[in-house]
Amino acid sequence: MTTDTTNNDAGFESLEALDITVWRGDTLLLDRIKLQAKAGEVTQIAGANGSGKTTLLRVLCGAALADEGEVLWCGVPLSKQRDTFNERLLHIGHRPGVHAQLTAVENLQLACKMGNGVISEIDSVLNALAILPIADIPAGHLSAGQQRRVALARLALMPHTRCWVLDEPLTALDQQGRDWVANQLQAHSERGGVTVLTTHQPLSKNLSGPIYSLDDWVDAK
Amino acid sequence: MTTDSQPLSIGLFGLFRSLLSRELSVAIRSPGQWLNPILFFIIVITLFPLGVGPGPNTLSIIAPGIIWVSALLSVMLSLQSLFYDDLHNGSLEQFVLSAQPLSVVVLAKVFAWWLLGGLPLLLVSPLLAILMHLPDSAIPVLMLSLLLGTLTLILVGAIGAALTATVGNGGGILMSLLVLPLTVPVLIFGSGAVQAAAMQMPVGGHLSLLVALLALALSLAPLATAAALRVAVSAG
Repeated sequence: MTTDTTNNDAGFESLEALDITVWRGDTLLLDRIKLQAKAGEVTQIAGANGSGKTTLLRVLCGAALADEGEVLWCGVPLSKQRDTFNERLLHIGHRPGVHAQLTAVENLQLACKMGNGVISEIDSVLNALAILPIADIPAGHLSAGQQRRVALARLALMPHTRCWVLDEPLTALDQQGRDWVANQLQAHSERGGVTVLTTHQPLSKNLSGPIYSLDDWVDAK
Repeated sequence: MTTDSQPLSIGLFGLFRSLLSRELSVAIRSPGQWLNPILFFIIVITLFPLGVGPGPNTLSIIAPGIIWVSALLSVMLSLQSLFYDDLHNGSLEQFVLSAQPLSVVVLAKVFAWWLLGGLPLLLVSPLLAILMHLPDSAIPVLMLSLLLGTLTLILVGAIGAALTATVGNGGGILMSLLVLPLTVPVLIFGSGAVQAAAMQMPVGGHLSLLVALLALALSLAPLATAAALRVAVSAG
């Protein structure tokens, strides 16, 4: 399971996309996208609705395959180090992975067991996110913002993950929730982690990193 | 790396147990999913004495086949939604992207499904056997063949459910078409065992073949299902 990439020092990790091309039927959705997300930075992917942000993120974390091109983690293709990369990955997708019939606590307990998270911290994290009082209600009964908070709680429960791939983490969140996410992103960057995210909201000024716009690629075509 | 900040891996069996209890909690909160198959099974079999006529001779001849066909259909009809929720709420994506083996997830789901959709069939089968005038001596064999057979059917059906998870509404029929050829041997040897038992003939051969089919399904089906789920997730 472990390969030579496990011993990389923190701060030298990177997630790199090389000429990612994805076709949706007859339409070219992503055309030779290149990007590099470095440790300690928050790499942002911008673009209009339908420009392929979610698809790109899914390719970056290995959930979907690109028709052409490759994704490298620390210089090694994902396909050659699936397990190593998955241990270090925290992905919160467009569908947040929160089961409607399970409570917040049940959802997070399983997520922690699957990803080596800190189960003992669940209550305090839910408290920080202001959803502890409703932690025993099936998630399907919660509001969109509250469900988003349940999914985002994983950010604080898995501090050992090195690569965060987040699809619209700020959607449906109020100011307090956005601040909490910004703090998590900052802490992750200070630990030397890699972050790639999409958002339509402005991020906190403390977070630095490149912004890649998919619209530019569209214009160039 | 202290155990305080980063708990060690809970092991595959621990993971299996957590996943199993997750599946059971979900099922308890949506009882329709597992009540439907068992009700279907009971209704279909109780209709036969009404439709065919209550003559003990006819009924006891067709009983093994009727009970087994009903069990097969009831399992297949319920299985189509096995991965539906998890695919649509993103849990499956999380499972695929975790460092834990996906086949353990599949096994846990399959076993939970058997506990709710297979075991109840087994438990009511003696009553239905009496209703169908099956000789008493054949009832233990019926239960044993259903125990082995329903597990195999669910393991094999999971492959079909995974392959058709992204299909949507027509998925059920497509799944049945895909999987039915693979389930026919189970039906033949399952009902064959019960028929043999009803005629006071040895059943060892049929049951051994059912065990062999179960061993084959148990070792290969989770891997095939996991591969199909990876495809389903990457198709989005």
